[in-house]
Amino acid sequence: MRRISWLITGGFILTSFFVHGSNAAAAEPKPINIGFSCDFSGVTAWEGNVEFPIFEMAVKELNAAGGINGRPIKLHVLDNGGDPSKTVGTLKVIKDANNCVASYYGINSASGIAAKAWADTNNIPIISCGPLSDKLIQRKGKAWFFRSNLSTSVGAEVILGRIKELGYKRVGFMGSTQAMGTDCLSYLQENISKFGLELVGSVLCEPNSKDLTIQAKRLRDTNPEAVIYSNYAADSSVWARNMKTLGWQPYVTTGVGLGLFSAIRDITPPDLLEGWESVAQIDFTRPEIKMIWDKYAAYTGRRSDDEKPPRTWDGAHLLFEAIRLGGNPDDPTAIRDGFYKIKNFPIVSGPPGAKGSFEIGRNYLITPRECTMVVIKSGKFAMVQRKK
Amino acid sequence: MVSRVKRDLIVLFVVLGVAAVLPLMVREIYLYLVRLIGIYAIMALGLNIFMGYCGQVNIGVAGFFCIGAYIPTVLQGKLGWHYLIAFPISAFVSLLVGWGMSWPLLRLRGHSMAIGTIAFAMAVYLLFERFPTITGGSDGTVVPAMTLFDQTMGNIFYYYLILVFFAVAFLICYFLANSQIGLALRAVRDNEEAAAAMGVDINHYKRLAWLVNGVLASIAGSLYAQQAGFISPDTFALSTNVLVLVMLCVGGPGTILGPVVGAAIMTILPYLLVKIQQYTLLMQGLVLFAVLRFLPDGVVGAISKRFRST
Amino acid sequence: MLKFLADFLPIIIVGLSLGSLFGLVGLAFTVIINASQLVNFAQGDFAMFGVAVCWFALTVLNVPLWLAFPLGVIGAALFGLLTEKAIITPLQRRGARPFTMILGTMAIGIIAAGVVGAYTKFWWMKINPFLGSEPWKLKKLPIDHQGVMIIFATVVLVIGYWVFLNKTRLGLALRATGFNRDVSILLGIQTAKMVGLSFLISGVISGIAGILCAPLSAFNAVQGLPLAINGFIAVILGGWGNPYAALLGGITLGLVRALLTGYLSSAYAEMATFFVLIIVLTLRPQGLFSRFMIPESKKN
Repeated sequence: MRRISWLITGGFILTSFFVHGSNAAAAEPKPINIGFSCDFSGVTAWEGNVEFPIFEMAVKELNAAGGINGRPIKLHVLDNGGDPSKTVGTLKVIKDANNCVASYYGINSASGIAAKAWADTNNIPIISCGPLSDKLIQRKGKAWFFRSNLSTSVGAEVILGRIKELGYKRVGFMGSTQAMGTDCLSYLQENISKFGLELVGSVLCEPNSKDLTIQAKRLRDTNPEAVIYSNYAADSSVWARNMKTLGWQPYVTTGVGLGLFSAIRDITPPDLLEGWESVAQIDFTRPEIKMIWDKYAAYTGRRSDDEKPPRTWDGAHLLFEAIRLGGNPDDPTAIRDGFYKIKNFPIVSGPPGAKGSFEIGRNYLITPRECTMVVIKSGKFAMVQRKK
Repeated sequence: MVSRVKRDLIVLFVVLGVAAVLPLMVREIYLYLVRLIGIYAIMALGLNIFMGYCGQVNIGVAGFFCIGAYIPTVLQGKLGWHYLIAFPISAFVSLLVGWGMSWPLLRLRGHSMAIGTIAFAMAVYLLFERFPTITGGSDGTVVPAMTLFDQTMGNIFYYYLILVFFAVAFLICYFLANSQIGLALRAVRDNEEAAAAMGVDINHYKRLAWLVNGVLASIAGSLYAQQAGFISPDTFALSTNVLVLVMLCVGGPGTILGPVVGAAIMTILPYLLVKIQQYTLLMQGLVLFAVLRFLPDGVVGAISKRFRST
Repeated sequence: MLKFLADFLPIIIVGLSLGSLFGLVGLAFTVIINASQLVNFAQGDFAMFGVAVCWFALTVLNVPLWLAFPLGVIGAALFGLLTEKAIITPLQRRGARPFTMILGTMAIGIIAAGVVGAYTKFWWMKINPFLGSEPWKLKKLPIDHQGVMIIFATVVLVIGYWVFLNKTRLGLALRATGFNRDVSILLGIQTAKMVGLSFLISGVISGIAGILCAPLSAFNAVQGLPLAINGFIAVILGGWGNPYAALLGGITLGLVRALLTGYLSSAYAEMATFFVLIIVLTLRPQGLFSRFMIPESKKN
């Protein structure tokens, strides 16, 4: 009896191996294998579920136009659940099982750090369109990890410029105890005096705090004129609420980018966020932006009004260009070098006519030059006219 | 007449033999899955001793998993110690922590023990999350690669390492379950008062089962961290506790093979259902529900019952 | 003095609101415990499901709040009933171990989280504060009306439950079922229906608690189990089997967490919760308020 259970177990394990047959060799051109590891579940799933359709759409358009040098791109999609260890697992599978030469990885900064560490040791280029952490910046030598969005310090630089433009001097900071907050705080502490401003107080809040009234009070008591916050959607929403209860309405701004800003707007009553501003990497007046939003709506049936679709679009097209310029679509190193060969590539992020590139020491696409600012008025986004 | 034990061992070695030559035959993704199955099977085996054989409740297995994962990582990263030294140290630390926690936790019954073990696991998770300077905090930390004889160890090495530990864990649980100790554990499970009346030292056996559970989970954690290359507290949150529990229930608590089969099923299922990623959680719930409702003894238990009549 | 109050009052209200959430979930736990000695680990998911139905009615069906709220509560109640029918009765009929039934409720909870999560893509389900975002002003002291509503609802629910239990025949039957199932059957009480009723009531309470608290801190699909754990801790802290003690336990928990979070950090608050739980389980396992509101004759 027992032996039969054994054999069944062994048989079960072995049979499951043969469920996935091998790909039949076809007479069509050999596809270029690209891996796609994203959070389809987990805390940041709402972002992953936006990015995948855009990327897939870009790939389909490319393949319909003949692919790269006649070869189509084949996407291998896996869910990493927002878990850094799982992310590394999916990247391993993508590389070893599917022979992928490059990958797209999702939004989460913690998983991004894991992905970058893996990319550096395994020499597979990865492009990402969302993680903010400064730890992902490769300052020396060539990177294997690229981003089509901005980095925390870039956002911070832009908002400090904006605060100065508005004439405020005293700045307060609220951030997450995670990297998003601590990175921004260190940047502020090092650089704020260069703008002639003063950091009068700061509070760090643990994630998923149900209430931040006491922290808000503490920050208010330091009497700032402008408040910079760098936190996730749920906690920022709680913060907005608590500020309202305290009757405290300073100028509030953030460098977390429009993706998170729209998340906060989605879960918070609009009158709590009236007048709040945020760094963004898109300009609503550009027709390309509307085109991408329309395409997204047609493809998925959902509307978007933030920068997730455009920046994913840029990420996909930068990857295609890197493969093209690299010269050898089957060689990951050539593709990585291809990223650095990109010069003056038209991107949909940034002001009209913006061109994108990467440099040694800068593996993120968006610099302060390409940033814009967005304000919430009556629950809707509007571009802020900046003095140049 | 070959004894039953000899027969079972022969079958075990056949299975291990097949697993040993697998790297030469199949692609890396399958090896990756086997590594994961091995790790979760070790955890489920430990949980089986405590829950399946001793009849207690433990929804906090991720606590020891977390300790086993972080301690070698921190020792390697911060102090430069070698993995093969840090590994046993973490198992020993888990032993101590388990022994210390056994006093308050094992006096509880049923639901109280459930919530007590959950509380323990959450406290451990929070402890490791909130000291970022040492453990990297919520952002996680890279696990330094292990070097042996000046060569960085790769996936194949970890595959065999996990296989070896799986075999050891399996043998320990097999002989434990079939021994006098196993008999005592089952006596505690089936009727505590009667067992006490027969002279069985309840607390001693509960503690033993708890420590086996803790140390095996810790070993699984150390292996997991090293083969993943990167850990973060998210891996050790509530969902992992539930996942291992589901593995045990699906496989069959109180059977030797149950935890292994359960680990295999629950690890492979998300990869089979790759197309519908966001339904993973729903699928886990449905599997657990189906097993509890229709296959109360788990897959292995149901199969055993079928064959018992022949 | 006014400044002190202005500083402290929001903290107290938040602590009481959060505490009421935990306390009401603990109360809902106890309803089921009182009727059948079962622990329902899907309790938090009852609340989450109620929020999901209410949110769906508000945002997708564009139903006004005064209709969406009861819809959500009904949704939670029906979910409770479904749990009982799908897993409790079949398992009980088979004579399963109590822990298997706990596991069964957990399975139902995971299914609910999975369904809601798949539909919402694990995004938050926003429900706006019922009376808008401007706090009431009492002599320049801002008062969070959502918090006040939660506290008020808690009081009403507890009084309502007390009246139901002690002044109605149905409540008497429910108490009898929990006290001694076999004798109740002999007395002609339909115990199976009583257990179903207890799940229904517990669903109603959880649903109300969840929807009232959703404007304070948004719910998403996977917050059911953590809420259940906190509610269960409230039960253990307060007193097993005593609904009013569970409520007090929850309020204490909420207040302590609010104070610790504010003055130390939320890390310490969460860790403190667990350490306190272990200490209470070790030193005073019957709970801190177990004698609260239980008349002499019923002490056992």
